[in-house]
Amino acid sequence: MKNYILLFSLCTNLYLHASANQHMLKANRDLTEVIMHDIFSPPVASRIYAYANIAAYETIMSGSKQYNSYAGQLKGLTPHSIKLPAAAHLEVASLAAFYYTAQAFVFSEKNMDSLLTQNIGTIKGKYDLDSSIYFGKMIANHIITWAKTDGYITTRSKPRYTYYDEPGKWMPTPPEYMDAIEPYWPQLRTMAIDSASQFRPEPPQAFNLDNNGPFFFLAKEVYTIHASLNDSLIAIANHWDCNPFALHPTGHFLVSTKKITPGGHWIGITGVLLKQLNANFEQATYAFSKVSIALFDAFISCWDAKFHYNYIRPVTAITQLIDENWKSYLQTPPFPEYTSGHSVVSGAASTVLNKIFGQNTTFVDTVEQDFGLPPRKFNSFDDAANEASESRIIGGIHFREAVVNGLAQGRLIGETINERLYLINH
Amino acid sequence: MISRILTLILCFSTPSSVYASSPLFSLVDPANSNVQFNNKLTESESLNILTYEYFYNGGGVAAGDINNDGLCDLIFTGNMVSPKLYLNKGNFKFQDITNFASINTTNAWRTGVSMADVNADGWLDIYICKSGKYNGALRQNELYINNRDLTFSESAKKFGLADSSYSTQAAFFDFDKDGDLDCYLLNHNVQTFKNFDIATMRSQRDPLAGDKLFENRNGYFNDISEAAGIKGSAIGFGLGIAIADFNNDGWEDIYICNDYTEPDYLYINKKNGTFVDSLSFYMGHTSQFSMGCDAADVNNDGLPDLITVDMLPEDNFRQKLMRGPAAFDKYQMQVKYGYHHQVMRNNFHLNNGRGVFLEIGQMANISNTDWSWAPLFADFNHDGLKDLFITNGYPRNYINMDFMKYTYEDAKAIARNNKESIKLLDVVQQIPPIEVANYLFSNKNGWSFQNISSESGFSNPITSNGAIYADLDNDGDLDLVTNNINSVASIHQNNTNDANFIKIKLQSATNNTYAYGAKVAIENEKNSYHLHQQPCRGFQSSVAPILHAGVAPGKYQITVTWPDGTTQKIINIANGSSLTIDQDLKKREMHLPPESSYISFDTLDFIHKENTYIDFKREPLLPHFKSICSPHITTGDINNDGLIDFFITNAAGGRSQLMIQNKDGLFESIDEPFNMDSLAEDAEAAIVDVNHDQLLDIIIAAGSYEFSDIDPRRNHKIYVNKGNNQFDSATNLPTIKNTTSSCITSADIDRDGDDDLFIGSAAIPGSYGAIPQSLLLINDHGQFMVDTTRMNTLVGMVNDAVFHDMDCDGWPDLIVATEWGPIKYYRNNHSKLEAQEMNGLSHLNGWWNTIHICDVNNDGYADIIAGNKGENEQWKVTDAEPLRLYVNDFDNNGAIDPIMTYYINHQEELMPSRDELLDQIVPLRKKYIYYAAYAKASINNTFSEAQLKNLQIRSCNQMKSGYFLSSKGNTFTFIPFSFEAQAAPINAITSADINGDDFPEIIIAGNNEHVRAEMGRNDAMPGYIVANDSGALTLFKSLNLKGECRSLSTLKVGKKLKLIIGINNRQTLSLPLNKSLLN
Repeated sequence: MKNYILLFSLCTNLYLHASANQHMLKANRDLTEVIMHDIFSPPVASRIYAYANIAAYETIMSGSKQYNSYAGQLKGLTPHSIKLPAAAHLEVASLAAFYYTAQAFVFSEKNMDSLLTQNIGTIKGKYDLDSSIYFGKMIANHIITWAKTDGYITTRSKPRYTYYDEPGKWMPTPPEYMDAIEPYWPQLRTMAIDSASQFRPEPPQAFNLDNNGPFFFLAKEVYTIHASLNDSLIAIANHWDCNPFALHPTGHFLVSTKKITPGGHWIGITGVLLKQLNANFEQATYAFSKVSIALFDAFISCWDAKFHYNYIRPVTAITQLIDENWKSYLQTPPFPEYTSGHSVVSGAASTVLNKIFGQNTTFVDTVEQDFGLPPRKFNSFDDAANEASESRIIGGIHFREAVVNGLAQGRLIGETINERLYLINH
Repeated sequence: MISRILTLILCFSTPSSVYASSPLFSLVDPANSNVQFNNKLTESESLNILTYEYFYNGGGVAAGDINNDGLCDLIFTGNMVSPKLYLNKGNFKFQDITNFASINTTNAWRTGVSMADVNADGWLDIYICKSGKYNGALRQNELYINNRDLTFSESAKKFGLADSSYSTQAAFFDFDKDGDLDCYLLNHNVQTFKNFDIATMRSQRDPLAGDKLFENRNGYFNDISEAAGIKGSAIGFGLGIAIADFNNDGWEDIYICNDYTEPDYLYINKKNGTFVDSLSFYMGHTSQFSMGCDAADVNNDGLPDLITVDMLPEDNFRQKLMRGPAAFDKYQMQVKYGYHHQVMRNNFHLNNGRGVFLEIGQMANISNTDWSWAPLFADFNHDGLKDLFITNGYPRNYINMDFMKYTYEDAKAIARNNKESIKLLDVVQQIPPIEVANYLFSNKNGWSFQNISSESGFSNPITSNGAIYADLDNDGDLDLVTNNINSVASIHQNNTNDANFIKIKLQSATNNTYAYGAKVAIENEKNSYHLHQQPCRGFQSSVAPILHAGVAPGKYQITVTWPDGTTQKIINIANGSSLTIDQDLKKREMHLPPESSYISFDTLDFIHKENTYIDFKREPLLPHFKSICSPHITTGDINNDGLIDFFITNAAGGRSQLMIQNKDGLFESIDEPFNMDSLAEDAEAAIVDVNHDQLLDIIIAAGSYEFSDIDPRRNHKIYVNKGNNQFDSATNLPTIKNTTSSCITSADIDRDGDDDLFIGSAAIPGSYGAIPQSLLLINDHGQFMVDTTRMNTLVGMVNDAVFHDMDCDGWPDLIVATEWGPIKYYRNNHSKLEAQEMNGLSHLNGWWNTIHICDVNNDGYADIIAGNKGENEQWKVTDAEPLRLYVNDFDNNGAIDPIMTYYINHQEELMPSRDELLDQIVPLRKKYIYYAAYAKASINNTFSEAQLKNLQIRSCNQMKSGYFLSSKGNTFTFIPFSFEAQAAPINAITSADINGDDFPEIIIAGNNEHVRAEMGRNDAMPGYIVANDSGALTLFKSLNLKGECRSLSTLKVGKKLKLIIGINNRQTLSLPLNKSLLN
């Protein structure tokens, strides 16, 4: 019922800020391009999206009676005491907050200034640029200071991950046998959920070599699906691949392809919906920030499971049990299998989007279009999340348990965020 | 002062005189030679590097006299262009007779070429290999039989050699000594495999990718690969083959270079028609992406040495573009799955005889020659030592992390913005080539080389692949020919103008008419030179079957060992001779090579077990593990039975043991109570009577790198001897928090009648480069008290320490070996240990691993034998260009960031790759997004002045091991060991007078298996007994030890002296020491 109210409130505002959402869409798209270029892993990318979008939201809500601050609602975030300059343009300030926050986290920081200038260049009307930028920057600093206490920095000097050389445990995977990334991500402070381990799922099926055992059954399913790949399955796998860095070795020739991260994909879907509904600037910052918080907590929760269970990847298991020449269709990313990252974040993001846009919102996912993949139509966010999860089995990088339990784990996170964050006054 | 000026003048005058003379080689103008062959590659949509991964491997060249007119002719293969056959008309004039000769190869990807008299008629035939993704019929290799009239007939089918494998090269040789030529066909695959876990596939034969061995039976070549034990898996990427008698048993063995993951093979001839791959027995490690190779006797000791070439560039910029993240886990997995130890650089394996090859490529200055193809050993400058020529280059420089990570996707992003699309091939075609001049190295002394490329006529950047040497103008010296990509082939004329050579043509009476496999020794009283007749060398090429040696002027005896094992001697051959030796079946003598004598060790009942802790996980920039500190052997008569016992330490997870000698001279293990503490890391034990009960107690210094600060296993401990081989369980001794110890030594430093202790700290775990506090414990009636008044215990990163009265004043002094510092001398001044600046000692900073004190020259004053890192590394240190360690918390995150630097081409460069440094110092990720930017990084342009504020700099100006001769304990003179002992770190030293001349022989051992993956293992230290000739340590006798030896000790067993050898992660060995070891 609440969803209808929300939709209604979105509609009533439409005429006020026709297509004003384009600025936040562009901001997130710019950030996605930089994240791709700089090659951030999915969890680290989710952290950048979250802080940048929260900064944008915290700026825009400074002038709003309708929206509440995240301060006091997200762990460790205190209210700021920065005075809004009278001549400041809130949207310009909000964009400034977004780009300056992002700048602190990305590597290609020089690009951020020019992208900001480009973005605000299309904002019409009379306003004082300096005070707008100043205000945005101050909010950005507030958010960056908060971010510094989230544990990220201390995880940088932790010992590197040593894989367990034991049956059933994760070990580096072909082709490049990279070390596991971000083993200490669960030590980051969650934003809305209680802790990294709050939604830790049950242990996965115990590994064994028995040809009739339940583990073999899981491996066999991935193997069988792989053997019967067709165009429609491949389309699903490609659409949700979301591997920010896949290496393609041909002899000594090594080239990588980059895609948006799973988080980036859901940020993209949020943008598609905002555009579809012609939402205004406030609504855009609200939706982006809330989704990105869901993504942030989802990655922490998922990484908790991954480095708690340190579970074996299908490529390792199948080459041991069934066919030593087996290769997964999608490249296996470098971290343990259980639970599936894409399943957890898709579960969390879709649940938050349900609340923002309504449970049965149909949409065309055009996010991958710019990257050469056709659009896909979905009848609901849940459908999209289900398909994203299924894509991991099709792609041969997850077993069914990681996907089913991961999706459930993500939905619990999404529901918790929906319950806990009180942002719109009605 | 005068002498210094003189040196200066000499320095300036030497190069100018070099430049005054003409270069060793000069390029022959193709317009004059008429050799216009050009291996032109044309990239197309269907055929390019993306569709065929060996698109840029290039062609080969073969040399031989096809018309028996005494002039060496040439044939070049082109990948996409037809081969060309050139008839040598003399004086560097050639005639293209390809068409006349009917060399019409099918249009597949042509690779290697060989010349051999396949049909045994005395005329050289030509065999051309082919590869590529064509149908098999097109890819069949071709055999051109010489019609003796400058024409050839393709007859591969008739001989059984029309094989359609993906072939690289064929080598003809007589492996079964039946007097005809057999053939090893070197093959590769055309698709990459990246999965390590493929045991089944590796054990199966791939009919197109696997190597093949053909046995010649009455003129027909039969594939006997499987029966002969030749591996033929789909992941064999054979790029190089060297045939030689590697184990010196008179039979031809085979070395195969494999690209990518599959290790190289060393096939030892079993003398029964089969081979066995014995690589890991003979070689500790190999090149990783092995390409071409050559086997030849480089140090004139009669044994074939080996070089394999790889891809490591010489300059820092290109190295830094290539190197990504540290890959220790990947490396370990590779080893675990059976791919042996491989490291990306040229490997030079010096044949030490007795089954040991010592890889000394770095020390020999020939490890880094960029993307290399053909190495060729030959004496180009007639100084009696074979020099080394290496071709290199690659048409597209995509071994570049910026390309891998950014170029294609950046181009795609731009295209995306412009609503365009872009193909990978378009991007690839924009990549510039690696054009590096080919390398020529002059052999200085049998094991080390000097780069003389630019002054010898090789300064032109060019992409060269196959190469040969041959005396094209019959002036007695070897000219060089290279096959180049997209450029005319190069003929380099050798300008040597002397008669310091001997050329030999062999004519066998068998069907192996050119006597492939014959060995030739050219000897007189002063010199000996050794050659092996096998033209297939380098890469995809075959040299002329005329043997050439540079020799000192004089008369020589020549001994030919024919392939059948018979020998024939010719005497009184003067330098400057070119001779033909016909096999004289009447005069033949059977010559059996001497049986290799192996030293046989006894095993002791103690197996050291190292744990799997990986120090690099904690400190990614460490140069080597600091957690390895055992086994260590300490001797003493524990049970007062007059027989010497010993205690040996073990790593965490393994049990240290007390070994009690019984009347039969055997050692029995006492386990209790030491087995209670097996989870502790015992570094070294001291055996002393702590409590004056006439029983020796055991005190353990704890190594504790892998433990947390509060872990009780960090404590040093004492086991009190209760008699009858019984001990109390351990009690703790005072321990310094947050350090890991390496050593313990005892002496009565205050002369109060009981032994005091010094425990040396090696490091502060997690803070490599910071100086830890060591520990002085004074014995006060059986209680050890920490003493900080008698010495400043901030000694350094201590690896070893010994108390000894160096100045013979009756007070034991303390000598300490430090890492990133000198050997320190603490003079005992009436129980105060005062650090002394010691002439000849204090200014030599190294990675001193171990010291041993004994009187080398019998002058009554103890000398110091010292084990250092050695010189077989990427760096060479001098006072002006030391190794440095910058120690600081650059990013203020509470962790020390130790950054090592060394000099490359006189420029100080950072050791870590971009990814390694950025992993350690996260804020730098914003500064060094691109590898090209990092490739220019130095300490000063990387860090701000503020970041450099608390910087500590350590440096090393001496990496050699050697001995310090004491002059009355006051000054020292450092005498480095000879080169054998510099090939790897020395960790263990002991001494004993083995030959009874009252001068102690020195025994040294070492190696380091716990090093960075990209640097590779230090495994060229087989252990040596060093004979002491009245105070001079010169003669090195190899012990042929394998593994990382950490401790050596001698003790009397009965009347005999025995050496006890403690090796990390291996069984403890013993060896009776007697005179015969010095023979």
